[in-house]
Amino acid sequence: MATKATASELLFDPVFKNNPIGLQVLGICSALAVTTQLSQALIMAVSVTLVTACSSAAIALIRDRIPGSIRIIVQMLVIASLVMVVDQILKAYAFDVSKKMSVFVGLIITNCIVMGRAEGFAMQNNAKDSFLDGLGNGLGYSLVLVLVAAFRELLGSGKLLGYTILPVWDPVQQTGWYTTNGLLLLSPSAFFLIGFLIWALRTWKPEQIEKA
Amino acid sequence: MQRDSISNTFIVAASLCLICSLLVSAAAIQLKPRQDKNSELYRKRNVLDVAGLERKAVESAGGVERVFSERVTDLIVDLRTGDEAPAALVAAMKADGPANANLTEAGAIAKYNPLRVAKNSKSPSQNKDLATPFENKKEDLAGIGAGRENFAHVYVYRASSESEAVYIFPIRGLGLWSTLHGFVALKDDLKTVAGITFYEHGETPGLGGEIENPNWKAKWPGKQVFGNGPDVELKVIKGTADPADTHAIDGLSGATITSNGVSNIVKFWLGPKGFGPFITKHSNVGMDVQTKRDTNLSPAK
Repeated sequence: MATKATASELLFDPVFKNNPIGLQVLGICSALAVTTQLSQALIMAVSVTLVTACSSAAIALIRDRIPGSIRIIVQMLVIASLVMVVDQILKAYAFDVSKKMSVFVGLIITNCIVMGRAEGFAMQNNAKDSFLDGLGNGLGYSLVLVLVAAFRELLGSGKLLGYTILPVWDPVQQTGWYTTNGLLLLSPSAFFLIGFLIWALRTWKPEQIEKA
Repeated sequence: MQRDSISNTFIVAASLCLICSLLVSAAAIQLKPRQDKNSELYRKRNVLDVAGLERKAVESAGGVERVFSERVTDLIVDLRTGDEAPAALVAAMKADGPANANLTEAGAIAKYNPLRVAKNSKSPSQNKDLATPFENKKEDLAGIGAGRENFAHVYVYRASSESEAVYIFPIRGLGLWSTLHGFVALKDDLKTVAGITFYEHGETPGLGGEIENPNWKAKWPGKQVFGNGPDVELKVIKGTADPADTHAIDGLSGATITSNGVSNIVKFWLGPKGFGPFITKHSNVGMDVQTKRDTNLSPAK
């Protein structure tokens, strides 16, 4: 980094200018898996943001002591411990959602965004900047996740956060009018939606288009 | 460089491991009581689920805890005889160790862990009254391990005091990767299935994990457990079951071993080594026995 970034740049650049999903195309796997329902996506977004911010800060604090030969393992250890703590907290306070998300909470460990920020930013910067950078990247990830999930839940099952928004047509009861789009409940639809989001983002900010 | 020396590498690795493990275990211990409460609530909700009560109905009737305490009777059944035997359980628990000497009935039931008891059924330190070890592999049809506990819970659900009972039996056994834990519910005649559910398993999502699929679970109610004889005829078959066949359930495609596991679990737990004696004792009862049974079922508090 040529010039020192300000706090607000650290925090908000990853949201639109350098979005981890939109520009770097990282963390796609979990974006497919947990976006059928908005409630799951919100919990996932908060968890990933917290883990990224805290792990980046923790790694930045000890970056001068980490031997180069085991630095990836050390990062994994810190990230994995934090994810396990988050998993325990979810099991205690958001049991239903954590049950539905099953393995995907544990899989935050392998989320490329978390690891990417630890190795790419926290190893070279101080704890405060790393914390903000982690928080910002988490927010960028959250934005995409929540958008995709809102779209999928609303059009896929006519609900938002479990509340009915579009009354679904029921041929037996003769009520409602909305016919759900089953494709949106399947994983490929998240690919399409993320594709459209990236398209929109790059039309708005053409500098993000890679040179062919 | 000092930082990259071998000794420093070991020191950093060891101290980080120590700090991280302390962090994780502190969180786990701190949150354990809440998590236990959650899983207990989840179990109770599954009991109500399998009894055919919809989530919305539970909510409008005052929540899981209240509905459970008002409408469900928790019986302790001796699997060897089929009798209700809370006193025998207390005696067996007291004989199991000096720590249990002062147990009350409620305390014994709360402390009784069928899974641990079954697991220790071959250990010499455990009281022999608590579990029966399997003599050979063939006896252990459901694949539950060393032996079977002698006392099990049977939940009896009644929507109101006059309505027909639904009997809910806890079941477990081996699928493909994991032990499936669930409940099977039988109607008042103890022959017709009222529902099935698995609340804990580690099968492959999308294949064996489809045992959680509501559409598949909906194929169970109304099926008959027994044929003309006392044997359990109900099973999950490969492919699509003939709708006229009251003993066959559609198999899960791509999950033959899980499907077979479910068949074996049902066969074991509703058979002579499972709740069979209880079922025999309580089905085909005359009118006067029925009254007696009702008094037995009233909560012993």
